[in-house]
Amino acid sequence: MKRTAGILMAALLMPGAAQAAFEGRWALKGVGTASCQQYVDARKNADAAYYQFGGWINGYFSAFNQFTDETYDIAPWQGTELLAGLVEGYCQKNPKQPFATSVIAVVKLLMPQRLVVDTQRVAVEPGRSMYKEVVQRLQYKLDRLGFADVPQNGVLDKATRAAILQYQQQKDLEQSGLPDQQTLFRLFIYDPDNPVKKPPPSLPAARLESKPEEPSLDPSAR
Amino acid sequence: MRIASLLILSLLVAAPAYASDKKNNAAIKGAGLANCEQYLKANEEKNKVFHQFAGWANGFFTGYNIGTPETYDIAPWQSPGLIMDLLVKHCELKSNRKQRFADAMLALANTLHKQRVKELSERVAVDFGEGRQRLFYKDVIRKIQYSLAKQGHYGGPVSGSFSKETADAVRAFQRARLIPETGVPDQRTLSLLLLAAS
Repeated sequence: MKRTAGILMAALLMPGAAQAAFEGRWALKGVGTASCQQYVDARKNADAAYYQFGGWINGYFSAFNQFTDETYDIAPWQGTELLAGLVEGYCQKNPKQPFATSVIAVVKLLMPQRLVVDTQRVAVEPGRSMYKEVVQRLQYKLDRLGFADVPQNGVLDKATRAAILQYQQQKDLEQSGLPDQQTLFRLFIYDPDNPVKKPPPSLPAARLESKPEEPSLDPSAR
Repeated sequence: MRIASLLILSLLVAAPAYASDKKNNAAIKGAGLANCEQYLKANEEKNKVFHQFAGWANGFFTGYNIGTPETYDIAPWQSPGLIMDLLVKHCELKSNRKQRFADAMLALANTLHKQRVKELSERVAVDFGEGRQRLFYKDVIRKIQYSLAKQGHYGGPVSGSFSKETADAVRAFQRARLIPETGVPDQRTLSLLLLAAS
């Protein structure tokens, strides 16, 4: 396994090989130049290359936050697994494109819902927190969808959790009562029952983990 | 053999002023949140976590290229292996052990910024022997020729093409520095010629 991975990485990363003529406006580094098809395959196999791709997404997003005006966090609630799934959607549509192009497409998708400034974190459950502003958006959205008595205080209090649970029941989602990835995806990115927005090319919903991982360094966490 | 160990230890230490548009406040994702100690451990084991760090570094540099004015490539000749080794060197310093990996990357970017390739530059193939070719930006070949000339090894034009005269000068430089006389701009040679001087 280790050896196979080594060979794969060598093929992907040797300067000259993967850096083949991508004559864009900027140099794409590392697996950024790999093809979408390579990404889709690596994701399927969950091999060493997949961890390079996953790292690449997080590194790119961090730099995007760092160098883009009015952007504190381009992905304020999305876990790595969700992002990787969205990228896969674009990649399946354009298998020959560089992987980086699909990551940039996901950035464009998320841009309108980015977090502009840092906000307080609120506790979700032990060891997990989220941005207060995301909780506020969640409450606002639930209120607009007609759920009764949703406070607009940015706190995941009892009433808010009850509304989340109701929403999950209504949408036939796992009933955690918590703002998990499935629920947030349905609320903020795409709801097939209410298709006002154009859906992302392919919906990664089936692959979403109900328990959103903190940006984890533990490879077994996937 | 670790190329980076040839470099001056202090290369990455002082990085107070960022040449780029660094903001004080931006969310760091994934492996960027880990600290130097965790990176060193992953580097020892060359495990999946290490691959996350390596991917992170490349994703970050791509974002740096796109987000920073007058920057086509922040790491125009450095191999991924060299980048990871430079980070090891940086992280091994006692004072950096608790530093976030993202901040180590910013420090590295700051060091490399001056020698970035600013706009798309044609790429030329250099023959590394045994059928291996490496692509180099003409801009980098020019930097090589300029540095070799400054050190008295090269008297030809700063043309951006890897001529025989350039290869001879590379060999002379390698002889003077007591490193293998390959006659090609390998990572070790470029580290000594371009990085250590910056």
